[in-house]
Amino acid sequence: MKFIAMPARNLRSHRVRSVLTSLGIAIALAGMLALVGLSRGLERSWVTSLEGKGTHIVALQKGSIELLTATLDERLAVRIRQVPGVAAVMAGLGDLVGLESGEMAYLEGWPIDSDFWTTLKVREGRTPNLASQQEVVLGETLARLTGKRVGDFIHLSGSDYRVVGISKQASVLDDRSVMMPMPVMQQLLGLEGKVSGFHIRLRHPEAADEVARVKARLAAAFPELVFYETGEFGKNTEVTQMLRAIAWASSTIALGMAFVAVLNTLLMSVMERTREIGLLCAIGWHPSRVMAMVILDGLVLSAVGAAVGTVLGLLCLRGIMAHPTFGGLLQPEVTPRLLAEGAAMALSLGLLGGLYPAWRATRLSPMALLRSE
Amino acid sequence: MTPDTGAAIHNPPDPETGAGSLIHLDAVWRVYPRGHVTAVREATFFVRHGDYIAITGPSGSGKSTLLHLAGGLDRPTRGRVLFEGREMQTPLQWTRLRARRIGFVFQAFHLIAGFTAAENVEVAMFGVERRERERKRRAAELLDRTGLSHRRCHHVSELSGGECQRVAIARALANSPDVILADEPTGNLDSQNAEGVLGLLEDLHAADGISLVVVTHDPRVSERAGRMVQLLDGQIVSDRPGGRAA
Repeated sequence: MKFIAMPARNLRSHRVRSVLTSLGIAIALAGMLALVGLSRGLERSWVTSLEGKGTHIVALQKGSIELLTATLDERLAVRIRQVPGVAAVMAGLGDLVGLESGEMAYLEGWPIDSDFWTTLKVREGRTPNLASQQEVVLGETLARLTGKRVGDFIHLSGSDYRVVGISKQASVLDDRSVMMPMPVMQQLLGLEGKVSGFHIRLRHPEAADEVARVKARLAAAFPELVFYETGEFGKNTEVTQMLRAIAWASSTIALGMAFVAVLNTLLMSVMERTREIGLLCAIGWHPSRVMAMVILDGLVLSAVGAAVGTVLGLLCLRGIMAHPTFGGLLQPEVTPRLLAEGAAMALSLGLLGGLYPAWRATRLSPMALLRSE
Repeated sequence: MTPDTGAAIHNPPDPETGAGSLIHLDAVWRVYPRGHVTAVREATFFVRHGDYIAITGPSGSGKSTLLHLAGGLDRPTRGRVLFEGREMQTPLQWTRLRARRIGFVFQAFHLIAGFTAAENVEVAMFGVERRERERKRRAAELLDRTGLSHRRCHHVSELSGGECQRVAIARALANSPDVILADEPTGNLDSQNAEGVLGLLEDLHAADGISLVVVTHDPRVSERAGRMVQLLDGQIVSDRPGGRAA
């Protein structure tokens, strides 16, 4: 018989309780994987989107929920362009909108002469010709989900827009976008002259020192704006920071509840087994071995929870992606590292949840434990 | 009260140092603070290598407490307990002794439910014997010796009372102890099983020279021991050669 047989037998003898505790850990872990995976996925898709557009620095309104807020005057682009080291500035307007068919779509508005139109990989059709025409390009995923083809009309906030092109983008966010000329979108949102931010291209993006210098110049010249380099954009925007905070806060609460469940289960287990623990002490088990046995109980519970939770979390993400509202809008980023972090957290729950019951188990004298019969 | 030592006990250990004894209780008291119960009062008692001692007395006279003090399961309120002349002061010292040199047998068997007979014996070897194969071999050997080779893989719930106590004896022998402390080992058994269990303990004592200390209130058991220690109200009132010695 191996030492592991002791906790295995104990957990088997209280199957329902053990399964429920492991399930609690599994649900907490699944929630954490889903939330953190989605939050990281959003960060990644924004960075991919910016990289695809050739953006080196993004300028946004300081102190607002960026990207979904359009409070900046589009004429600022001319002034930003004048800062030494800046090669080009492109205004951008963004918003999330619910389509009639139930899907969520990301609206993007660009000036008709913006370089962004040339970065689009148009699979079918063309890009809009005139700034004033209600013409749009759909990302491939959105076109597939809505069943729209070139020549069809898409209904947005009471108006119909003609689909003139379908593009395939590297970023899932862009693939789920409706791209239209800036004035058309400003009219659609009632935000004439306003934009969400500016995409800045630099003359020497490969020189880190030069990038830092230009960024400092920009920050000094435009104190009302905040500037992010593309690589740090995903992590630093208020939207992603908020999402990450929500993800970790929810996960912490769920994991905390799972910890209490483990603690309760192991305490009950120790109390029910006082006679057995007393016996083990009486036949010469070292207190550290008794502790190890109880802690191993917790580790087995949490290992099962970690395995089930990982599968459950991945299934949960798959379910979210299959949902019409989110499918293709967010691409979760579940890396082996995140899975390992999740598993380590679950195992820590078992370890920490077992410490106090294990300590309790070794506190009483063997005789007191045997007398408890 | 001075205990009646009856006929002389050969080779008594040094009363000061405990030298010559395996276990030596020197003027030991055990008082339970709750209810101010004095379970053992000023007991001086020793166990030598190869002794077969019966501890007798009416219920509540402190027999079991004396046995538990001798095995370090309980700690004296006053007095010293020595093992081979060394005073045992910490619970960990006793833990090490119980792992390797002292075997316990209880009236209620205290086997682990859900484990087989063999696994119950193996449990005592964790921490002493690292190799699983060796633990299995030793458990099989001991169950064979206690007449349970055919019940090795049976769970505790499938064994009779006598068989359970034989498993408990095999467990007590797992790490080849110098002494077995048995607390009413036949108390829960019918006369036939009681005779079998007692015979087994006596065989082990005779064959391996293991010291045997049996707490009992059954006069038939005490008459078979080499020494008989009698308690009354927590005090040792006599310590003299038993029926076997005679």
